[in-house]
Amino acid sequence: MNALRNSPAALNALLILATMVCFVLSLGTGSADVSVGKGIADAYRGVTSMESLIVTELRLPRALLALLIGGTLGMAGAALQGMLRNPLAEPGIIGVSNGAALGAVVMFYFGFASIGWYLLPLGGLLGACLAVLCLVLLVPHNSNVLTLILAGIAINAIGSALIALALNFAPSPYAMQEIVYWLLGSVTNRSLHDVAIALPFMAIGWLMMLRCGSFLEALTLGEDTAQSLGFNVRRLRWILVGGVAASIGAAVSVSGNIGFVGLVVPHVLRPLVGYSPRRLLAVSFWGGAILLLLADIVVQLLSHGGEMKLGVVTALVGGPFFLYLILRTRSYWS
Amino acid sequence: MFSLRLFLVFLFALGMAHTANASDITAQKPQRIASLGLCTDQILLMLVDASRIATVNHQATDPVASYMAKAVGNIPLNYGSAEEIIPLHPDLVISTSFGSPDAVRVLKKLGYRVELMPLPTSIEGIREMLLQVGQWFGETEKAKALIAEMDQKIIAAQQRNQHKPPLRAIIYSPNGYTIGNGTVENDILQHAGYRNLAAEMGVQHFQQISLETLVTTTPDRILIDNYAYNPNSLAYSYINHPVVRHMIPNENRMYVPSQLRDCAGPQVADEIAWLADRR
Repeated sequence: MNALRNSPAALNALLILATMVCFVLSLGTGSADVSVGKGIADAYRGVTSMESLIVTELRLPRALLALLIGGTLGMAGAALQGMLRNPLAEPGIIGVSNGAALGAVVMFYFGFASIGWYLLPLGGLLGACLAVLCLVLLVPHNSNVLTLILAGIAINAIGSALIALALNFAPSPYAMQEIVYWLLGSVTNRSLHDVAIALPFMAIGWLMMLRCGSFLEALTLGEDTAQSLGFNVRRLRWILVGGVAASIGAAVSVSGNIGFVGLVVPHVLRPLVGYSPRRLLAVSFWGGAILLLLADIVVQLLSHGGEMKLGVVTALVGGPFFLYLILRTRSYWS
Repeated sequence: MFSLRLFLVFLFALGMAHTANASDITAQKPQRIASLGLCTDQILLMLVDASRIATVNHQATDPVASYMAKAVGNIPLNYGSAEEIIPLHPDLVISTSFGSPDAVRVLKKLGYRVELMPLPTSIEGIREMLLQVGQWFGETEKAKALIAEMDQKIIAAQQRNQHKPPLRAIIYSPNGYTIGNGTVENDILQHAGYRNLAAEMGVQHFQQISLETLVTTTPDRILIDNYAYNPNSLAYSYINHPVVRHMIPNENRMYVPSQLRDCAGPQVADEIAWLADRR
């Protein structure tokens, strides 16, 4: 542990290795009993076989999305916790994910998403922006945990009510049942097309968040200090918010709202990076990827045919952790 | 005292009226039959003259979903609520055990005669159901004639297509539902000369199967339910997924007309013919 703490490169390398292991495990997990090796070999030679179809068209997009979305959630959680200087900030808890889901629902069910590929993630981005804006306006910086959580509850409630409203008016008769997917999230039955439409927006979001690493570092000393150190606080804060909205908007628009990843991962990893918010961004990406890949493997092992939602697993892990955090931070509350 | 006596007389009279009414109903065929759902609508329209039908569900007029859409004519329509049924004073209300359970409970409580049509799980079950329903309507002979006609159509379809080899098929509906053993659909596939891969996999009744499992069944034909087709829903992401496109070429995807497939009734003979002729 101490060796890891002193060597950021070693910690990153270890996490990347673990992510790769989970990725390979994920490719090997599924309801069909097929040889993954044969599937990859066939796909490589351009042969269309049952194995190659299952590996390239079903398992690869699923594993890729779990990796990318888990990473996004982890990094966005670390960014929000750093920016709001609040240990309970998380895209799901503060309502950003529900805002993104609302934007994606409107684009998807009313046919806008078939006009251009970019409209679905863009809808998610706009919804996420709206939620973050509400939060930034409602919650003054450095406010206590309670204000943030209460604002989050309100934004979440409005978000899920509007999702239900939009689905009620959607032309598809199946829309209303699909609220489960938008509120709990899943990467089942996704295709490489979904990876392709989400990736550009997610990547832009990652770069924007990483760009603000040293700003987050300075922010731990307070806004005034950060300003006096030469950081343009106002501008950098917008870049951070934009990065969170872009990456979460794109992630949620292809997977629904998967909660708690952004809460648990930065907390577990923070001591390992010496409480540095800058270094936490990258390691939280890999930590989130690992958590979501494992959660998706659990979903596939537990559900036979009929699918369980990813958010169920992440909430069962994250919920108790959230309670634990509340107990531990109880001293701030009064 | 006097007023109490009058009240008792009134009650007695009410009771008499009620019993008289009840014996009327059993003595003759029901004259104002109300149906609450698509499946009962279709059987009712097949067996009973329009003049004896008080109301059918609005779905009965849907030309895509309803086998009897043309027969509805001027019959008043309902949306399955008790409030619409009561002003029509029906002497028989029919529904299924699935449709409008709240309306059924209220109507029963108010003393209406409500009969629930059984949902058949085989073609033999359809025959039994028709005889039962025919008895309620006082149309047993007509029900028997319908059964004979259905059986003839099935035999004719089978004889026409005797020489063709059996095909391996699987039903795949929105949300990835497939249909296996213990269902009319399974019986229909077998009568039409198809092997139902879901039944062979051990699926009982209805079950969601993953796209991976679907790919491993390597069917010759896939039967897709595209009633209410709308690409803008996750339910159809199962059917529109690239893996289904790659695995099963367009010509091997079959879309059974909804009006033949929605309800179990004599129309299954037409579905069997439709499937058998496309083998």
